[in-house]
Amino acid sequence: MKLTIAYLYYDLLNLCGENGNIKILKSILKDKVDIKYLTIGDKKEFEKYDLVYIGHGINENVKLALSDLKKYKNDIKKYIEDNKFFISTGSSYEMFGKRIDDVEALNIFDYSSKTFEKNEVFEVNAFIDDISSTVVGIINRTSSNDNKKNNFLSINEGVKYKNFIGTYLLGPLLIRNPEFLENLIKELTKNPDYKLENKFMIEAYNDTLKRKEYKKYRN
Amino acid sequence: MYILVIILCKIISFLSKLIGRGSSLPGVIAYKLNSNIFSKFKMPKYVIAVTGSSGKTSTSYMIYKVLKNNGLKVYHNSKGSNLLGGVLTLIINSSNIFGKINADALVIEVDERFTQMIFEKIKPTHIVLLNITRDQPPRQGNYKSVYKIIKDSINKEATLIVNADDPIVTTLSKEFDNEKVYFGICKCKDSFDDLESFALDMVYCPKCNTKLKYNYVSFSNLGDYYCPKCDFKRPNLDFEITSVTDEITINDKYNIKVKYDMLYLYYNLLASFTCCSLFIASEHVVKELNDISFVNDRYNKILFDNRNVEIINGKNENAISYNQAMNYIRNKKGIKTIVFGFEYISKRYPYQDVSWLYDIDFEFITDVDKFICVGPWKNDLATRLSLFLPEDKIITVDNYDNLNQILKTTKGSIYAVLNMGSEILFKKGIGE
Repeated sequence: MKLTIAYLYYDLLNLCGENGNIKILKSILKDKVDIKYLTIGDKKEFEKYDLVYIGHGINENVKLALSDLKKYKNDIKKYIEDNKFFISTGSSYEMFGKRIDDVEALNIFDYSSKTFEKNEVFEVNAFIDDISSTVVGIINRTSSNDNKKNNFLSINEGVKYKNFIGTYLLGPLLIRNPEFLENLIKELTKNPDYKLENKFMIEAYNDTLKRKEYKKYRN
Repeated sequence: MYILVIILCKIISFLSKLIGRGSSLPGVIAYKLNSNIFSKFKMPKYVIAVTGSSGKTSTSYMIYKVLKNNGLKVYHNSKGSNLLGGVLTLIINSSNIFGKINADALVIEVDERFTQMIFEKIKPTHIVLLNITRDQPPRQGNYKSVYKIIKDSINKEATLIVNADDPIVTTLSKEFDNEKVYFGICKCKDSFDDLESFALDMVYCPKCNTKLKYNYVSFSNLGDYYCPKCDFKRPNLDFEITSVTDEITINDKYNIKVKYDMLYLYYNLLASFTCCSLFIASEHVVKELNDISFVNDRYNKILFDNRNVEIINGKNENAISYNQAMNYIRNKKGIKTIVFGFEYISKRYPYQDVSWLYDIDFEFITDVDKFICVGPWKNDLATRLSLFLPEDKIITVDNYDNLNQILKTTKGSIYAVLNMGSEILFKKGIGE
């Protein structure tokens, strides 16, 4: 069975190497996956996708993408309710809340986002329910939201509902978190025996945990 | 009172030069003692500010050299001292104790995040806008923040010297009625037909949000762009590189020899040429630019075991600049062994931000025997490479100690993409 992954707004919402998440999925799934690169104006057929990914971008671009995505509001709702996989990282997950500043958003989840001038940066380590290991990453944002429930991470960050994940963690999230990636592949391919074999990735993850910066900035 | 501050800081400046210490300390102290001190100086006729995400140091140095060698009295802030303290140190050092700057021009490199603070104090007569790209995200937020800072800093008297190939600084310049001079590069052997990279900061029309089209791309989102829907396009060029061979030709007439073919070098040369031509005849500018034996700390060539080794210093966290090194290697023929190494991601902040590695187009490099990843980030580098290479093509090592032996097991020309500081370690490692 061939999977279809939609990488939405690849040319608007890719501020910090988010395309790495698509590259790793492609390198693991090889010819078992078809990647659709879609942006504003392109037709989106959510019923055909197994995973939808959207990355981080400047606030102006998030609003621009939102104006396009609004046309698919009902399709997206159904997609999420049908337990299909959706990962939205960085500022892009604000689109699924009620509002971004004065702009009406998709209203699928119950949070509002505000943009601000100076960026805030956090080094993150946190837990999620499904996996035993720590999730690591970085947040660098010029907006935030008031979401308090269905958090993705143990530090009251992000949103997780069914197989929808939204988080301010940016960049190559899947690559930096091998266990999280392994779980995702298991579920996507419905193969509980899948084992991630990239030794460099696992060692890079261990390096991250060892560095003093990580210890200093841990949450 | 301010005279005392100037005298004191001149003494500190003299002393710090004696002990070979930093070049911004006198300015930092002067500003602490009297935050109003900038207003006490009588600026020279020309104050040329150079800013942007990359190319500031080389461009401002070249402008300084050309003007100076043409008989103008010029002062320039040396490498790296481009924040408030560094700029103030330059001003103190170039003035007499009464605050009179006895010069024709100051050429000032200004950090793009500090333009607002600095421009309002130095009132530039000319501003060179090189480019705005993603760069050091934890420090800068994103390129839009930098855009806003520069936008809020431009004084209406200044002539803007703008890289027309960059849609971001062009958009910025169009928000002003200032006098403008645009420069850009023609389609040449190093350009691409269309956008290639994923690391694109602005490819939608700033006026109508339609995706821009390109007649050709120099790199990243720089090139000859136009909006298919409205009238936004690259402005007409006042200064253009009209051909590229082993030399570049500007406006069909002025030839400058280039030492190595990287487009960012052309942009820096063109920006310097454009700026200097506003002050002295282009004939003299081109002569000087050919004569400058520019000390390029980003590139070096040595021999190891009868193999060519080219050392390129890539800027971490600046994918656009790093990609220039990748393009350079990509254009080289034959089997290659490539060494990647850096000791830290940034000196300026402690975050473990490796996301910029995924904005770099390593994939385009072909005919590689081995990639060697060195240093504390070796596994992060190797992970990045493993997305398109089998594991046996990748070697990881903690440090450069045994690089000598490792390189002897590899084939082809050697390219070392390093970071400032790791070049010494690399050379030591290969017994240079």
